[in-house]
Amino acid sequence: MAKFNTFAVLEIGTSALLYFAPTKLNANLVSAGTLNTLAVQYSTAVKWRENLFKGYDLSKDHLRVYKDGNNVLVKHLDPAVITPEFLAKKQLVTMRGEYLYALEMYTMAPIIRTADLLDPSVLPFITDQLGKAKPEEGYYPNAIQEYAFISGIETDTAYQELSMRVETVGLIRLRAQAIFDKYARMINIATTKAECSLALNKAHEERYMNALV
Amino acid sequence: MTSNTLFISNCAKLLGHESSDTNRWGEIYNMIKINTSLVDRSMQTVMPYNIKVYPGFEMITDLSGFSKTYEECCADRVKELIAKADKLQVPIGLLYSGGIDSTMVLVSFMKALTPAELKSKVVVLLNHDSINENPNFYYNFIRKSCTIKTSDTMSSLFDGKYLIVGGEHNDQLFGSDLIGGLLNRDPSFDFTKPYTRELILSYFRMFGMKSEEGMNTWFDIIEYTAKKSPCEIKTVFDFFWWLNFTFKWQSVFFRILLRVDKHLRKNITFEFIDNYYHHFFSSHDFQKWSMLNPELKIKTKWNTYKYHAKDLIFEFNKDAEYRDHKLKCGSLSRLFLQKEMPLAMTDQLEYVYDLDPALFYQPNNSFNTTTK
Repeated sequence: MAKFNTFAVLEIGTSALLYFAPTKLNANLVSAGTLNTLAVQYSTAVKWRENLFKGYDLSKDHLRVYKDGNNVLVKHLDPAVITPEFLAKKQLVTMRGEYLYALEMYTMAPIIRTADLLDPSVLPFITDQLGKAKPEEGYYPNAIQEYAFISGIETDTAYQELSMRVETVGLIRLRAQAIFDKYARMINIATTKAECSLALNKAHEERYMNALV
Repeated sequence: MTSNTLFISNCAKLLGHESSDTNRWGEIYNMIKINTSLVDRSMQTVMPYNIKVYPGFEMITDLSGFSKTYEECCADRVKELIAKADKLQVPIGLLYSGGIDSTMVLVSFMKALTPAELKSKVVVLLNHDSINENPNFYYNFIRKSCTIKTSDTMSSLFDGKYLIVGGEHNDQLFGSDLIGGLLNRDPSFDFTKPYTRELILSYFRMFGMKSEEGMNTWFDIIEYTAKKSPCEIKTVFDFFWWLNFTFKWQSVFFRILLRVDKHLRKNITFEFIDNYYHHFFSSHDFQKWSMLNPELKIKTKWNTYKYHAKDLIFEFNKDAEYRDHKLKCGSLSRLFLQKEMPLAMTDQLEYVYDLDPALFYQPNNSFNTTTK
């Protein structure tokens, strides 16, 4: 089970485990919204950590995760730390985490349109090559000429096609990022479910409802 | 805001204004999308909110002497749009989704222009979705002969550097998505039957309309306008086509304008629209063709919807799979994903960001009358 719960949010000072996050982005955001917390990753997929959380009920137990030398250890939290304030903080973090994850999934959805062999990590290189081209003078860098040659198309078409692909991927991802940032901040200052729901609904409206025709 | 009359509105806010007439009117939003505002181009219906017919969109009433084919309408429209673009000295920015409508538009330009003219006078605006929707056409034709640019910048193209041409209104010429929706719900649905109140109300119910009063009012209104139409409305298919052709036409025209990038909205004037924003299938010739050629819209199965346009595309690209199996697929919504949108646009082309229904309400409307 713990193999799938390798991202977490810890409380600095107590090392109390506040929240297991489904993604590293989720862990990071939850941490960003809560003072004195830290997003961490436990590589429970590796052999020497696979039993890290074994024997604990992760949905109920209050745990402490700490380092002893090179070892990462998990223990039950000292009962003295489990105050009403601590429980409220844990509950708030968990609530925000769940809404932030829903937001992440919502805003990621349009990105499926950009799934392509053209991995986002290659975009800066292609953008650089496109920037070096001078279409009005008929000059294209070697990378674009090679792409045209392999594809069996004119170089100016290759330039336009790559521009189209890069712009499409860039625009969709940039919009998704902007929508995500805007509403993640709203969720991260929310203290009630109603406020979190409102932020999620607004994001949904902005991402999807305006597109209904 | 200086006007209390609209051209288009997101109707969610208007639905909040509760009275018996607006409730009857609002019933239709169980069937159609909330971003659609209906206005009767035949001018028989007074809506509960002031929504005015855009000048030039009034229903054509005289069909006498018209005999052009769809293909001739396409050829004439290409000439007209090229002449406009030449006059403005800008290229045509052709919104291409890979669907039947925009492929028909592009084929029309490809047939009419020389390869050099096509490359210099038309920029095909497309993206990954457009390629995926019709890959053969992209790889065999567009990639070999067109200038291309991403369509994801569509909302930022309203700066006078392009004469924008979309493929809107072909749906309104050929039929209605609602037919496809009904076939999805009930594969045995026979749209060729003569329409009756009972049948239409049963389809309204299938879409989720509930109020008998609301459904009957809408049936009465649509039927009343249909009976005054210059063409005959006989079947269930005709009935839903007429609803689309008459009431949805304007909303379809304005929906892209409503999503223009914020900093460019100041450019949207009557003159700008007249010069730079066109939909290929909007012309009066196409509308007359639609009213005079019901037999060319669909056969008996949904995959034959727009078969006449698909036949013409096939004559050009010889892609039998596309002709025989391509289904209508609304692709514009994918371009509208993630986009901010104002609530409405007035008849002075002002963008409305906060909408008070009371300002636009008109009590003497067609939904106030008692119906069966």
